[in-house]
Amino acid sequence: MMNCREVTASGSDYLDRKVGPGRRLRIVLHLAMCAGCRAYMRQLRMAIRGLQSLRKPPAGESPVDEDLLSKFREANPRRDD
Amino acid sequence: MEEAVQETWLAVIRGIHGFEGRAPLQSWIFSILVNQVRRLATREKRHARPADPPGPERSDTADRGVGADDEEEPGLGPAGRWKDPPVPWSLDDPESALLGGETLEVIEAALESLPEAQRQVVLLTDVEGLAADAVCNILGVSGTNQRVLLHRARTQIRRALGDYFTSGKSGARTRGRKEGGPSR
Repeated sequence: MMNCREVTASGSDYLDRKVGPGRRLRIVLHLAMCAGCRAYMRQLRMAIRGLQSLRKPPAGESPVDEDLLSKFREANPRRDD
Repeated sequence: MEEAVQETWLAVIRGIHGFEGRAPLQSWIFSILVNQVRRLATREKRHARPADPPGPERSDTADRGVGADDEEEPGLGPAGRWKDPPVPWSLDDPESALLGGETLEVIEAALESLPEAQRQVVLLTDVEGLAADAVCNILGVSGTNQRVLLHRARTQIRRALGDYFTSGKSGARTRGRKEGGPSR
């Protein structure tokens, strides 16, 4: 049986779905029985959501990579072209 | 920082012919920016923050959870169980509490106080939303290290939010429970 230390140490991997099925099952079983770790996971998830909400939306529709690349290349023609 | 951004764009324009499109353009530009910032920081000898100790390089972390041997949560007792379990935040509306301007300021302040390596990883991963392997390429860290640094950074943000939500300083209404100060 996993203890709270192992569950909290795996918190990010669990929320990012980077744990294998066996470990995932053991974490889920632990969470079902442990209110402290449930609160911890909820709060860690909220911390991640908060960080993601700092993401700045791109200013308008930015040109796709190819457009941007060709503009750079036009502005800076290769010497040996 | 402005100088780093200018240098980055110059480097992008100079180097665009060498860019072969193997990585997304965004990752490539980020990696140039990171290098410019590092170069300037070295030049100005501004080591405002102590560097992180080198992260663990273990091959067995895949099934043990990153950070198993690292700083652990302060509320855990010697047996690896909670002695002081996290105080529930008991927010009426977690979504709007999270998106409030003051909450975002708390998160930004906590980001500022992180060690450099943790801040870089969490900014690129969670704030910018880059894939883990792109973050590893840009910062030159292993996948294991990326996960360790990311988890450490996120737990610091969780603690900062916990202190804020349970101290009564947040305007967010809580359900009934009166908590006496921060959880620690």
